Amino acid sequence: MIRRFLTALVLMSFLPANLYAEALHGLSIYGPEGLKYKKDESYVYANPSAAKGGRLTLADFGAFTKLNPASLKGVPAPGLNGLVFQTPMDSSSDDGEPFSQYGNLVESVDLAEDRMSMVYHIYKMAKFSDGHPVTADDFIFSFNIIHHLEYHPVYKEYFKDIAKVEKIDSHTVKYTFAIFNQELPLITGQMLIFPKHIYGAPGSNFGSDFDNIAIGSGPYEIEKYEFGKYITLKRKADWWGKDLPKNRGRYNFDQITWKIYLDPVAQREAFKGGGYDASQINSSRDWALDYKGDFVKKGYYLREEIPHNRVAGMQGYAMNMRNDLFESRKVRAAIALAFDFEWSNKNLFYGQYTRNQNYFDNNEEMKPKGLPAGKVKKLLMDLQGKYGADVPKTALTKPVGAPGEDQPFEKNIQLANALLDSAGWKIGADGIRVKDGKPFKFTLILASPGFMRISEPYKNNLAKIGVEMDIKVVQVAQYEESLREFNFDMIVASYPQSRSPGNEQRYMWGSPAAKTPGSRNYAGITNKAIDELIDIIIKASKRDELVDAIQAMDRILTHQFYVVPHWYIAYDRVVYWNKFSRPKINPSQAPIIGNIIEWWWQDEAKFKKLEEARSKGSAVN
Amino acid sequence: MISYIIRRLLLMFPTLIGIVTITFITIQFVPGGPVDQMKSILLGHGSEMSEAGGAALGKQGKAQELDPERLEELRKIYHLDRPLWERYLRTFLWFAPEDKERGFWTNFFDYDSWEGFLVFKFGNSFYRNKSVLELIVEKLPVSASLGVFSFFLIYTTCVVLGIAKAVKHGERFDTVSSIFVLIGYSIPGFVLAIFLIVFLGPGDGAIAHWIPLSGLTSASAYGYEDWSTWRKIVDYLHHLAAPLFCYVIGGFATLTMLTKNAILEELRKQYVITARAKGLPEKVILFKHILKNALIPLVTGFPIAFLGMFFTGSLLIEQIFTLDGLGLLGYQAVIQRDYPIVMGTLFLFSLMALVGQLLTDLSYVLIDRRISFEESQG
Repeated sequence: MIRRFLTALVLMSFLPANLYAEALHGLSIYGPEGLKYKKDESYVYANPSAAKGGRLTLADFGAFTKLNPASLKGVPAPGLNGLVFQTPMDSSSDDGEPFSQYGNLVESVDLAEDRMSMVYHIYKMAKFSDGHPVTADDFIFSFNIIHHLEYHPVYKEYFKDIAKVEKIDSHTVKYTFAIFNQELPLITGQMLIFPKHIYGAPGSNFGSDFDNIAIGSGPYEIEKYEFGKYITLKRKADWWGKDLPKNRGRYNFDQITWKIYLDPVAQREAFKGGGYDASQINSSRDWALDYKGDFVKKGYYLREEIPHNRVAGMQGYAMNMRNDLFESRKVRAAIALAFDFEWSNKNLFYGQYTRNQNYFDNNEEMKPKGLPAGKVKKLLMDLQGKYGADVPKTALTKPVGAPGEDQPFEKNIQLANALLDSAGWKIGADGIRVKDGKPFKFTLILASPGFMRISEPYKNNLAKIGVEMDIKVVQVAQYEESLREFNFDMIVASYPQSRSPGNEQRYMWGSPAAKTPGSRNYAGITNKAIDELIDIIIKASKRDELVDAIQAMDRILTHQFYVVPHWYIAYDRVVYWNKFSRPKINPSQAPIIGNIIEWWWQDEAKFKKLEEARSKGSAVN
Repeated sequence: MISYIIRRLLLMFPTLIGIVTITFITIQFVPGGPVDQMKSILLGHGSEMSEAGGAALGKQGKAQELDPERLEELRKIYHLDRPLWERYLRTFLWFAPEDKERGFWTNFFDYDSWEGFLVFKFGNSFYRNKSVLELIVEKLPVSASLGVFSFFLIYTTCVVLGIAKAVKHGERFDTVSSIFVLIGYSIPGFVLAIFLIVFLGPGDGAIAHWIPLSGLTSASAYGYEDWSTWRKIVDYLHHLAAPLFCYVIGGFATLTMLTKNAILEELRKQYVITARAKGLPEKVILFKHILKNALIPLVTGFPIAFLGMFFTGSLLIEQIFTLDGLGLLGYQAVIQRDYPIVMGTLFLFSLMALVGQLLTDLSYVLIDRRISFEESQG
């Protein structure tokens, strides 16, 4: 009691009173109301009575070379983040909360009302695997070490707006931010915490590989490994965090091994022979034609398509409007209509993909439905009044969708021809359209030869509307350079989106980004209505405000035909050996293999059945 | 003789300097160095390489531009902030005393003050916290395993087979063995490797499960530490069999044919006729007289083959069987633009090839007394 009082006193001496709101067990980007879980609740996607024990073997493609998860050089071993090393907070994968984090190493957090500073209260019982307690010094060390020359620049960029971290007492630290950013308090929760007494000891160099000394506070420790070959983690039976509500039913396997493979065929064959337990398949061909042998028929391993609701974002052929070929919206629509997704999906992807209909696809909440109504409609009408054609009429009168979907392809070709005719492009002598003496020819540049076979049919379809597309595969470095300088006609662009859109939107669609070399505004979008909506998105402090602005922006983007929409896959393709059980809910925001590691468990009954069936060569019933 | 050797050794310098200089110049014009790659990672372009969008596969990265300050840091880490001429000289020989207080001459005679190829320092990899030499040593077990076994397999098989074929020239045995050797020669090792994995690997489509797929040992298996030494050796040989088979299969043809033809040529010579005329048994003629002469081209190829056997690399076979050896190291170094490894291995292996060539030439003198370098140089 007295200690508490003293802490409070120290706190007060640091800051004027009333600045901090009540201490919370978690943080949500939308304030305390955004937190779905109470302090003592476990996640809905956990099974608190999951059996502990067993072994899980996984495969990793490509050799790892170090045990340091945050240094510049080398490839870190799998499983280090989260299992061996921990971060202050744990991101919730619940579909019901877009961006929430709960205490991992910290018991509670006080966030200043202006969101410019915060205080973490570290669990007193938190310990590193060598028994040393986790303290404020470790938090400060882990922050300061970021400035080490050999800390990975990706993280340096990510954490650059945290101005300082100060010690208040042995288990209390204060973070101060350099700028206002809604996400910053949550970002602090994602920093890896390293033991100062190990990695800050005299003579130790953070740039090293941590060979033999990977000491973290997580549920597992490294049992054995060989660089480039395998690594085995062992569950700590007496882990300090095992009884925390958020860890109930979590981390069930006694041992987790990753075997390294360098060749996809070898990796595939090894799985099918039981060399490892689970694999996510990312090739439509493999999924359609492989993993269909004797063992799957006998039920030794299972094939499963697990639906997910991660935001699909947008992938497509982006048209560079800096080239005046694509300046007209009519022309862009025509180019988009000439892409025959149905054919490609059937013939190239075995029907596994879904067409991208808009920029925030595959998300119930953000995807605009039907015609605009309510606040979204009002937003669009206002913007149309202000900026005219920047908001196309169809954004108000038509739903979102891929150009020409649900229509026979022949009709789309007719429509595209008509659009090009009316835009002033006339068919020339050689069948290529011409306007003002300039033929309609452009080049699609690709970094991956894999897209050749996908783009060839599109090239043929474009020829049908009098447009000549040249396909060129260039070296990655040259590709980067072309993108940086926006020196291309068309590329395959991918715009991934999170459930919590923010600053990065400016970088993808904002007018200033169109002139910033290296930005993701590949199409060269300069649209005042979109700029205004981006401002609303970034400043939004309430979820519905944000969603309305996202939907309005999405409608404009979609109806401006900046890209020829591609496709996404709406489910995870997984194969796994028939010896596991899992919780009822799969938190699909997280990668499926990660869920297997954290939430699944070895089911002894299934395990025995499988062993028996395999020894007899009979089917598992 | 000694002056000849010294002359040859001195001539290696311009060759090596030439090789490294050309590589150094080429590298300056190739885009995609470590700094470019970091930019690319930050921009998240990696996701565009896959068929379906990055987002759909669960990578939700927010792209960022690299800060100019970070860029400068990176250039410093990779020594790219230094002028071109300095980087060029550093490759060969550079005086960089760590402790300037110690006095010039103390530093001058300290090996640690020097860097560069000429003092056999090859620098550190761009992407690993290891020196080029350490990395080569790390990969040696795989390369030496493949190299030593294949060396002995190929040499013993080829010599025996070559002799047998020469003796039974034109007979059925000769024809049939030629067909097999040539089939082996014409099958690319990696195609055979894939074939073996699919049909004899662990998968459920295989005919038999003979081939394990996890490197050189089962070290990742539970309880491997408790295995007996004998079991570990068997396990090692079991793992080595398939990659070795794929690796040597193409190597028999050349050496077998070389041996056979050399013997055939000798058979027609006068001294063989003389030997027969004086009534020596065929075996004695073959092993005492013919072999000595016929194997000269084989034996002179020995030094290079012997040096080479520890540094054998085969990219595709290493990749397919997850053997992390020198072939893969070199390939990845080129792909990732790990220039210290590219230049270091190039220098070392060129040096070895040159020394090997010298040893070959010298072995001619040892074997065939009629050859003398002094005369030919005169």
